[in-house]
Amino acid sequence: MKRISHDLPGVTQRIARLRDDLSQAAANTQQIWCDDKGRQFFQQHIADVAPTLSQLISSLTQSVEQFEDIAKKVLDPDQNS
Amino acid sequence: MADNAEVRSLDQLETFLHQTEKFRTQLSAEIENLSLELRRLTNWLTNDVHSYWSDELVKSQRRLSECRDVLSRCMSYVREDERRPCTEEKKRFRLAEERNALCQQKLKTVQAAIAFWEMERSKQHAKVARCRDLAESDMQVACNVLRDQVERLQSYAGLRAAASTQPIIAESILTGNAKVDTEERKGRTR
Repeated sequence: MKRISHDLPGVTQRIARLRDDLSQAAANTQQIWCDDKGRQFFQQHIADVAPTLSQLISSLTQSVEQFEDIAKKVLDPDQNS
Repeated sequence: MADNAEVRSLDQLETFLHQTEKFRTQLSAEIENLSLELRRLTNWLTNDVHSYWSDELVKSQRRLSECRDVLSRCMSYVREDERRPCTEEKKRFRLAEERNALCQQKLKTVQAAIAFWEMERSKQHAKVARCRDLAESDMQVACNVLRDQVERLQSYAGLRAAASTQPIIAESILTGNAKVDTEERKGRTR
């Protein structure tokens, strides 16, 4: 049986970085866009982004662990390589 | 009456627009990568691993049967002096039994793992779909709103720069009163 390598941790990490970068950029921009339209924009379009991505990241972190556990359990102990 | 528009740095707003567009594109690509990776892992488990242990079970059954026959032949005798210990044959039979039991147990494990992984994937599917919507729809709308705002402020700042070098605190073109940072605007018009 061929072992499998995957990039789920890498994808998870990159999505987390995207979330953090956007949050930082939004925080910086909120300081210079101070009117009602700005507040409304961040509330309507940006506020949900980080929580939504965080849910996915948390779920992916769990999936990576679950998959590693499965991969170990289905290995053939008698297989040389 | 429209609310006062207060944008202290048009440059920063433009930068944020580019950051948001980049975020949208990269998130979209990562969600695509994620879907491919999840599909690949599922295929490995449901096809490769399942086939491997199904084949190994068949092989182990064949091997067990062969070892049983060999042992049986070894142990059969007509006269007492033909009786042999068959140590090696017994050992091979025992190993074949162990391998067969392992294959049966692994196949059950694989079937349970497939069911579990499918259940986890269906839970995750909603979260992935939500993030795909976020990248492809919600953030597209956000970029459009932001681009519109930047363009209005650029037009406003351009008009004001042409008309006066005084600090801008005046009614904006479309959205109401606007205030764009004077120093920044001067810098942009130089």
